[in-house]
Amino acid sequence: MNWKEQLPSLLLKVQKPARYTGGELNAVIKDKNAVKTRIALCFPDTYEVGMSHLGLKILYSLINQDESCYAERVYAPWVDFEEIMRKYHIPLYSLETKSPLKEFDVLGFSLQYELSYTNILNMLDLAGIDPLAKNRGNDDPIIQAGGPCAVNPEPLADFVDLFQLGEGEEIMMEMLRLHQKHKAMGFDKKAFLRDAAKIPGIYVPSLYDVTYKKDGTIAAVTPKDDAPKTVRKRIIEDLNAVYYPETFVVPYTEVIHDRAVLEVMRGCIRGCRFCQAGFIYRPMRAKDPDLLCRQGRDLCESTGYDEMSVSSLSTSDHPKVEEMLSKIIAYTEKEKISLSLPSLRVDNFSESLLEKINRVGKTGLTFAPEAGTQRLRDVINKNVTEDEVMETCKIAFLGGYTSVKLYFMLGLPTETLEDVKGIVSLAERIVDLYYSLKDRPKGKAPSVSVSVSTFVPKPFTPFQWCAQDDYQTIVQKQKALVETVKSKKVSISWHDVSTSVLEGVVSRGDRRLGKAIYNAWKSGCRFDSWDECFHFEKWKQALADADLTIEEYANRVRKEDEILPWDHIDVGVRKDFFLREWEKAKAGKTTPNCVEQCAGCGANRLLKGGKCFA
Amino acid sequence: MRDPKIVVIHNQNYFDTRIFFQKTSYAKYISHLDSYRTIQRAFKRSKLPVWYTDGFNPKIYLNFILPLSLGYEGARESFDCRLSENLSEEEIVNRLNEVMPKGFRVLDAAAPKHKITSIVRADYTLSFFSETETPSALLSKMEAFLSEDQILTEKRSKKGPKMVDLKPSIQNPSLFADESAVTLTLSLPAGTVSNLNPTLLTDAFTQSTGIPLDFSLLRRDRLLMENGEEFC
Repeated sequence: MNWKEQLPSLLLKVQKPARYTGGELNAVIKDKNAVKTRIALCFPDTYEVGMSHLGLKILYSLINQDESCYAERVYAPWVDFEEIMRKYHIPLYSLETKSPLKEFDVLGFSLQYELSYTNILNMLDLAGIDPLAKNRGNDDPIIQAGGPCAVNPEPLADFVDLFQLGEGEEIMMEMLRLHQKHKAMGFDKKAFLRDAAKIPGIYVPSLYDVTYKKDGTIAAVTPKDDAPKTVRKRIIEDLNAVYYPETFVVPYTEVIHDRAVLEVMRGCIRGCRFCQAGFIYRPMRAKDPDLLCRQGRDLCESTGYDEMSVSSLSTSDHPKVEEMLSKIIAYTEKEKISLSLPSLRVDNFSESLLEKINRVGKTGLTFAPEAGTQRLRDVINKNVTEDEVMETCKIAFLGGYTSVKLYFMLGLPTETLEDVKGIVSLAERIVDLYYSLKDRPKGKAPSVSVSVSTFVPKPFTPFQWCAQDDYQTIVQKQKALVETVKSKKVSISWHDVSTSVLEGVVSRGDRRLGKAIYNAWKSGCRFDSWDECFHFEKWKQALADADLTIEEYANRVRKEDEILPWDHIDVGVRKDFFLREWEKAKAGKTTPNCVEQCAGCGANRLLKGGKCFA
Repeated sequence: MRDPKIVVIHNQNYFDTRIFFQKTSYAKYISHLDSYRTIQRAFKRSKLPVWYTDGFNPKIYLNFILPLSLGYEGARESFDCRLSENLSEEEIVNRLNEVMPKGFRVLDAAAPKHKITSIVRADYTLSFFSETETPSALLSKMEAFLSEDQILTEKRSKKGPKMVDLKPSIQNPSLFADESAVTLTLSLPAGTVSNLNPTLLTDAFTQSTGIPLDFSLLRRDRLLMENGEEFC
């Protein structure tokens, strides 16, 4: 029996077998022999996580619109199915045609978080493909990667043949066309990669030599074979003209975001200094409300979803937010579709819209002040004041809410014990506010849940130079935080520090880190973002075996004239802007948002007219 | 629909409708809850005038007759819903089949005749093989196992595990083998009072003989009432 015949009975032995069957509604079935290029869109995490990702849905539909191309989906098998795959020699296969990945021309990996990197190596290995790029030849698929983490591609330089930087709609099709051209000539991997590097936004790591100083910092990054000195990310200028799927694949089994998603804008005007997404997706571009309504209706009608959500970094900053929400709510109410509006600030909406929003999205009250004192909020440029938090809580309490959720980070630059304790005082003042209200909900106690994560400095942020707090410091701060709480109405939850330490290492890693990632995978690491699969000791050993330390990546202050591993990548926002912002942060000075006053970050250069706002 | 059953909700007439469907291939890997969601979405796409539950988040009302375990195919499963128009059976069936995903196929629709509590038994077909035994060897071992006086196994219940004898519950067992697998058909108690999953029996076989089984088919064929007639 071959593995395809064995599969039906083997699937009965694993958890959630519907992850591995394919055949879902709206999955695209083509004749694999009738297309010129086959690409597997691979998400290095479980089906439930990968099927929730909007970017891959867009690329999947976009590529499949082209008759000469066929895009299929692949997710990382959970550990129980991996064991069966290895035992029965089942190669990692695509869901649509159950083809082994070796049959594909291109494998495209989505890089959403650093702790998914070992899954890429593991998926390649399960497919019988060598994870090391240098060992792969003309007959192997081209391994490409894109997504937010690709802005620092260096830790994956040993494994990935090419990176697509920025938004993928145009560059993906340009790359596939080039692949077709080379395939027709008789495919030569090196020649293809040399040509691919000429497409704006494509970074081919093998075309760059990196040399190091004695202290481990970079001496020089030297392009060869005419590769560009810096590679600039791509953006879509007009979001109203760009392709958007008319339908989604509807999973049989529930996934994390199992609903119609409307992408209302890209980019963010806020400039919170810890937030990588806030900088790498600049400039902000918004979609037209009527277009969004049409796209939402198409999605709901073709999928049967009875849930819809809007997606953006800050929906309240949409230039036509009221018009947009009124129109979307009018549709969803009529069709009995429940609408969720995550991270929506409601400060200055009209009464009638507020009432409508309250009718649809009563999901609970959530704030992300991120820091406990105004001083530290100024350092990180999070322009939320305590008065605003209190005012909104008051309205919410009077409207019948009793629970509030607050998000904070520990380990932010310049943080002191006073800032840590400030988190608790803010939470306790919200409890006090509740009891001070005469018209509060009768007979109910308030609950304020505080969720604390660990700050990880990221490339392309003003904090890219700073040292991350080490493990012990964060643990002490967590302890201090918990000990400060006096009110029983305040509950504190926090995350495991060790995964944040590793994230800190990988996110600002250089090429040398590839060896550690390889070692870690070899020693059995995968699904590092899943607590039950995370082995910090193995990672420490993997780093030591590569002659690297956690401290040099995570806990070192980088000098301002140091060549950073990602300096040859250009996301639009300039390094001198980040430096200016880093200085302002240290001085506790804020920067207005893009609409209030242009801060001259440089992202406007990505637009033809050079203007972010008309 | 013939002999419609009408319920009045908020002064409007709704037609109680029982839909029979097949669950095969891909669909057998879907849990009951996921099947429920899948069929709700199909209704949404079909635009049939179906009744939504009251409440803050209105949902399409579907009441599944007897949930099927993950891994099982169903030859004739059913659920109840309510429609605001008296549509023909043919129209209901066709409009649903146009939008059903792979593995789900609507067979027919009718006004419900019997209550769920009238179900007492279900017929099953199981095909299985073993990496260590040929089908004919497996067949004789299973025959011997089924002809024992008692078949004791542990059944998990709300009150914790308890030992049950499966033997008196098994009706009309029949076995045959082909070159790839052994097929067992049998009838077991099913319904709201007592329900026995046939894999309890095959698990007991594995426990007693030490032979692990792989399944190429697990199927519930029909639901039966006390008088031996099929539930409808």
